[in-house]
Amino acid sequence: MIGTYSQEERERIEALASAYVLGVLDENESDFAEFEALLEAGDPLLAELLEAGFDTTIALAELAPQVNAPAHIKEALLSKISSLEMSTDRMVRYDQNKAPLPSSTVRLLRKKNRTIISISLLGGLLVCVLLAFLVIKSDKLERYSGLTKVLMRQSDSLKLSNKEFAINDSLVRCVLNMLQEENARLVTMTTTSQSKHQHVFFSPKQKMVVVMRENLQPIDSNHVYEIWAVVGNTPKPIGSFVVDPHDKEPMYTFSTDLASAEAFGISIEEKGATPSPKSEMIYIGEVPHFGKN
Amino acid sequence: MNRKDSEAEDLSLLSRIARSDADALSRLYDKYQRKVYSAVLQIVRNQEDAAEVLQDVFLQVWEKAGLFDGDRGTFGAWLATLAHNKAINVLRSRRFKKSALEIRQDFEQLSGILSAQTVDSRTALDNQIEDDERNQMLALLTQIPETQSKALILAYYSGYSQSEIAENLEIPLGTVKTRMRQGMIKLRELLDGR
Repeated sequence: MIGTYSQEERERIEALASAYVLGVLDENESDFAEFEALLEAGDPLLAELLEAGFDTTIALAELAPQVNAPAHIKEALLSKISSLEMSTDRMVRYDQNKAPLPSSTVRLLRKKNRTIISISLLGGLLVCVLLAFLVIKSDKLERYSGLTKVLMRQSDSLKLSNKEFAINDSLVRCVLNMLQEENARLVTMTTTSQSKHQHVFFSPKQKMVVVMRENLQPIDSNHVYEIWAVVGNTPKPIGSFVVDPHDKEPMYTFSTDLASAEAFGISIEEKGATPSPKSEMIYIGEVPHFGKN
Repeated sequence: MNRKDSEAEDLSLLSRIARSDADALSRLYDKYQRKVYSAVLQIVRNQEDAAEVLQDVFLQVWEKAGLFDGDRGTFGAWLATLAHNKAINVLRSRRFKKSALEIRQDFEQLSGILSAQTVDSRTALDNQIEDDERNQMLALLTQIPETQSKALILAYYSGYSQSEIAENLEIPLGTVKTRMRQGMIKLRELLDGR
């Protein structure tokens, strides 16, 4: 039994194969295109039916009342081949337009079938490995998913060209590496109204915090943005930054010695002042906990 | 000679033909000319055309022998299909000359193939064997519903497409397709069961 076909599909392919081997499948008919598509796709049932069909048509050929060919045909044939110059390529060249070799079609289909089966098996194996990986690393999947969305939004919001984004490739790779770590976190921060989002990547292992630019707009020159980590309900300053309207820096990186944090936030502070939250956080978000982490 | 020996002989002859051995072609021609010519003549219904097709087929064998691969299938199947294709092409190239009445007569004549007798009276052993094979085939076909066996014969020998067959027999195209499909399946089953 080859593959899984519905009764309708099987009958359809049987009809096409029968028509083809009987020589009644006209190129101008719609069935011909369907047949060619199946042939091109290396349909295994079609291959099986064609092979059987060609053998069956021999029986039909033998139904004709038997008569000998006139003797002069053989004489003419032998005379013609003796006059033919031995062609060096006649043993290696094959003109398919002149003499379609039905069995070669079958062979082609079989070859394709083997290829398709091999690819299918390999593909199936890869899918299994991927699924196993995803089950084991489902928490990372969540992080990757979030990262992808953030990076895409980041690119869009800044209208970064591929080239511009590529310039930040090393930083992007750095973020991706962070997500390989068990304790790295992607933190989604929101405004009080939750109408806007900002993202922060936190890596205790690399001792790094990365703030995505996203919705942060340039502010007056007397103020800066401050990124905070909340540890034990106490905000701890991570670093300050300004958003340059002429710069398309997609993210801002900061060093930190923090091993963990409960939340991250962003505030606007006076430039040059000692970091302390003098105003409320414009963005705040809890650090998520994935799986066992 | 059984079928396996016959196929081995074909491969041996083809190998020699590929090396331009005209004697091998002569032997292969002698072995198959009767079957091929008979089938072609039944299709083209014209001795001159049948002779031309037969010669063309064996010229093709001469030129392409080196490309034949026994693993692909039997030489007999290849030869039969090659001859059938060439004969059908001849038939189709002149079809437009036929009137509707002639087409109807074609169908009627082809339908009578099941009861047709051999047209020559040769009694040589080889020919007798071939005739026996034909009789066996005819016997097999009688085990298939007549509508299906006729559909197969018309399809194989008429040179018309399935749409044309449906049109000229004034039956739905789907019926023609079903009859051909079912007929092929049953014929295959009967051949396998021999």
